[in-house]
Amino acid sequence: MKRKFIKICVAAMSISVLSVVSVFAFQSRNVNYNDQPFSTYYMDDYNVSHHVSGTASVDAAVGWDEGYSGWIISAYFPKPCVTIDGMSADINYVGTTEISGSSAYQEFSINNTTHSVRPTVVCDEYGDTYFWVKSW
Amino acid sequence: MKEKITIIFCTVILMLTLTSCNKYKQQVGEFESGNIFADYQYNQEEVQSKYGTSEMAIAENGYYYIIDNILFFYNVNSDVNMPVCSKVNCKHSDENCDAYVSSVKSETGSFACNCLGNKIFFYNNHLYCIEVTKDRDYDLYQYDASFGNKKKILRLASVKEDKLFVSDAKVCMISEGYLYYYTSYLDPEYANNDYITKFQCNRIKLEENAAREELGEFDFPGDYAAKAGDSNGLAIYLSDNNIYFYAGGTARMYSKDNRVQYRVAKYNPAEKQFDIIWTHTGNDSSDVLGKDTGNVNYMSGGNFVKMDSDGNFYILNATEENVDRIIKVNFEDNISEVIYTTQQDRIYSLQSDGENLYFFESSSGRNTKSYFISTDFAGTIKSKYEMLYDDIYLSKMEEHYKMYPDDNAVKPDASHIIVYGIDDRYILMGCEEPANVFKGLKSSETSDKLDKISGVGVLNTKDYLDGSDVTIKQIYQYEQ
Repeated sequence: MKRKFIKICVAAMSISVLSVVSVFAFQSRNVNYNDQPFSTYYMDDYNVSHHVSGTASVDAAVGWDEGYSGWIISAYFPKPCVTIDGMSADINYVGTTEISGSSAYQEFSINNTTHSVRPTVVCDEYGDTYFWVKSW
Repeated sequence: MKEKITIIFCTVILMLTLTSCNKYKQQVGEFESGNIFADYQYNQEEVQSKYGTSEMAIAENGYYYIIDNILFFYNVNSDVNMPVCSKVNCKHSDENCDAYVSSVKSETGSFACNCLGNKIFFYNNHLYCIEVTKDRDYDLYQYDASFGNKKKILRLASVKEDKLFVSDAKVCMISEGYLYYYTSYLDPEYANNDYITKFQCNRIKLEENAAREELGEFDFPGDYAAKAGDSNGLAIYLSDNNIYFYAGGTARMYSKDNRVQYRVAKYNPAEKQFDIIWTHTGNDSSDVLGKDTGNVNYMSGGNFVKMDSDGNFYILNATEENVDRIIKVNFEDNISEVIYTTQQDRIYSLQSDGENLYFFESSSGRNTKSYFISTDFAGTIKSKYEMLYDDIYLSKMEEHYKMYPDDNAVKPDASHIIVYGIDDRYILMGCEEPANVFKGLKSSETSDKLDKISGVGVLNTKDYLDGSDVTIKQIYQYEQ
């Protein structure tokens, strides 16, 4: 009887450990960042100060393996709204959204120049996500 | 017993010490130390980036280049890649490092820096950088090969004295004992004059207290660059015994007028003759370089344009359908022709060593592939190397595509790979963090800063051009 009881306990523990592991093996969720503001001030070579500001968004699906890795399943970045010195800038997609594992980003050109805005979303191994916008 | 434990402990410590200093050295591998390029003939005039901008300075025994504001030296003979800093316990990551270099910080409005444009030169066994004071004096400083013994050599420009500053420092070029460079006039009415100002083409002899010689001047927009220190589409070359000054852009950041402008000038040092050989001003980007040549775009700016040794320019542009092409142009003879049209989607990072053109060519979409290609100056392919993805990354993406057949994930292409430079020995290339996925250029750690360099590697130039079986040998990978 005692042996049977021990066997049942061991079996129950094994099943619960496996369940916990399989629950944490893969998780996913949708994440939205809407109209997140960004703003940069900078000088040009002629001592004229400029201001780039705007808002950017992303609709993404993210997945993660608890404590092991996070990744971006899909991400859609609509065109951000950008002004330069208060005037609306012409914004265009540069290439397609790039996803390399735990991060995804999309580059947008400003006024058809090499200067761009790049919103990025990242998912870590705990399912926490981060969103930021770089403009240069 | 105690003795045994002591011996084992000391052995372990010794082993750890011997293996601890390989952060910057990757895979000694099949390359043995010693002079593996015994036939290489160093010629300092030939390695001064005369066919277009380069991101490295070439010495007889290796290359100087910058990773995340730290100056590195890769010794080709010993296969060692190290920051040029000998401080004990230095983390080589910030201003406290002796190898720290920086350009202007436009976000803070601070022009003071010790390496304008992140441009380094190696000439007459010395390193050179352009330093800027907070009052915007632009001075050339000389260092020894270990980046020590700093000495001010020359005043290149001064905003306080002449209202002039050094523009596009990255394109400065040394030739036959002279530094050739651009300055621009800091016109107080610049914003009221539709962001047009004067640009001077200069040279200065590399000896103490030499004075700037202004070779010529032209009016040109200053707003192809958005921020202080950015490229304004300028370039300087040495070809066919002439110095060429190139300025070009297609999209102005602040003005919507006359968005497409080019100036090309030629200076003959023997005859001391300066001429503007081509000018274009307009709004239409179509057929600017000649009939049926297509549309100029941001890749037609000076930072992407290269030359050969016969006075010909090689300029990227695109068809109406946005297919990238390389156009060969001779401005003096008024001749232009399409020499190469991509079979993929995009061309990136055009380079020239005076004998070949080199560039990346990438497709896009789920089956993104990137190739490093060399052609002759007629556009005939000589060599083609596929930039391979890391195996673990590839299998993750394959799993991902199976699980999510409809999503929009694509693999990064070669647009994030920087070619630091090319000589007869190696092609030196590095990869930025967003594309931390290529074999030989990858780090196992990721940075949350997308402009960090994840990895640097070298490709043997001769083996690559011969079509031999080559791989990128990694010499640096990012570590936190």
